[in-house]
Amino acid sequence: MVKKLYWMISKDLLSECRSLRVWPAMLLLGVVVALMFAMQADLPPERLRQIVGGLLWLTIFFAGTLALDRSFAAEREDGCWEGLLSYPVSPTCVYLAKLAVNVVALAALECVLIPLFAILTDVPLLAHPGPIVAVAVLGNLGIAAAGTLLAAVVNTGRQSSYLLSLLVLPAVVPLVLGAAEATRLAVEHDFGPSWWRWVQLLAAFAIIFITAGIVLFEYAVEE
Amino acid sequence: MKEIERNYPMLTFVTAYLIVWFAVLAYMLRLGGEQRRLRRTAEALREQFDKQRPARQRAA
Amino acid sequence: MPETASGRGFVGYLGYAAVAVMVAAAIAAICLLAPTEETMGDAQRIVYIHVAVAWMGLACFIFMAVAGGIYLARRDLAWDHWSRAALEIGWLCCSLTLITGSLWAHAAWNTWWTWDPRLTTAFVLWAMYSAALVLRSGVDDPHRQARMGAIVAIVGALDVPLVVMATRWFRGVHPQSPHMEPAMRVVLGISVVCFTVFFTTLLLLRRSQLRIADMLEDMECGGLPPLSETAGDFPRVLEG
Repeated sequence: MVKKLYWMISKDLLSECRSLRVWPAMLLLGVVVALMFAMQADLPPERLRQIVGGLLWLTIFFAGTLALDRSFAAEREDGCWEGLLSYPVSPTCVYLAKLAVNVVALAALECVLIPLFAILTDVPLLAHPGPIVAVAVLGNLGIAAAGTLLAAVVNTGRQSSYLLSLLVLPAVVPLVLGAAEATRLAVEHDFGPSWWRWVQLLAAFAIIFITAGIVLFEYAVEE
Repeated sequence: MKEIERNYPMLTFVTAYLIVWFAVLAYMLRLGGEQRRLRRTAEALREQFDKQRPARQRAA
Repeated sequence: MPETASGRGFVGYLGYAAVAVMVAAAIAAICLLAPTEETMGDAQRIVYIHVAVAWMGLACFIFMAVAGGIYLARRDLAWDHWSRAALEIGWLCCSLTLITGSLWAHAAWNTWWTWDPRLTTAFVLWAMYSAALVLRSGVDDPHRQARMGAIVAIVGALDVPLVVMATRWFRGVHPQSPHMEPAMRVVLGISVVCFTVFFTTLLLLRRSQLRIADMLEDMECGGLPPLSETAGDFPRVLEG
């Protein structure tokens, strides 16, 4: 199964590198929203420190939804659904592959946005990168897990894709909130019990969403 | 304004319950309307059924 | 044809009358029996309906998720009828929770809304309810609709424990276990029981209505069933 997984992930990543359908739009949206937030947040440094976590994760969420929505678009538009489903892989394998691709996409987004926010707002996001990266990885996993499952639910119907944001946002609010709070506490070097509680919440949600995705994905994509 | 201020708690309480009342009433009216529509459909089907009864009895 | 016997109709009406009496009793208890609180005055009485509809909103979501899960396992659309009925009643209850809570908040804290953990998670629940409604309305095929509804319900059910535990795990302003006089607790109990019965009755009514609607639609589309099968159907449908 690992070989099939590897094949599917590399197939999607390669096709993305060649056609550049999603990533440029996602990165551009992220950068534009980050710039707009930075323009509006004309505050003294202490206040800025408190809100930069929220702004960062909001930007990651909005730009990331673009990538999540398009994760099944290639199959849907080019009519590759039947091909993918008739290939002898279990739906779990498909889900994990799509999840991995989305995680990579969100990671790329975060690699651009976190330094960008650090530059624009002069908040020391990169001073102690360890905790920030940990929070980013966990938040990434959770958002990608929920988003991939719900993208499958939305994309196999004939509804338009605006529905994905409507579905993903409520499911992912605790995650975005948790990541924002954890980032804020990390920036203020407050690694007390509340920081750990937020990190535990993020980890719990990531595990729960991945499990839910593995169990429910086959029901989402059956015809 | 003074009257509203003095009776504010009572007004809040009454507003909340009126909202609940009318929301539930609207939902129940919707259920009733749906039930009427179903009844009409059922009766139309029954008429159709009765008309076809001789033919179906002959076929059966 | 036992279903058309007038005995059933009479029992049905008695049941509805009992529910109506219970609701009236609850309202009477709330207005007359409950003592007036000192700081908030009469606005405090909102809590009796707020707790009842809040608990109902949570229970309906869990019920919808369970019914959806059973549908996914058995593919019997009857379970989807339960899921759809719970979705509608639950959305109604959740919306009323937010509205009554907001009115209470303005009376207590002079603010209509705040991003306290309990309120935020409750809003997330309402958003999941609304998303499920919108999603279902866009799909025609009943089995596909049931499948998608089930998945969204199960994913959204993850928020329910968060709503319940939000006041315990996170700091916020939503009251946790406020001090209430014994008389208030009694009225709260009466209110929760009576309104639960009332909304459950609505749920049962809506579910049977959905079942009949699907049955009639099948008859309309698929043609009329053979003579022997429909002996009892039409009278039962028209009994309502």
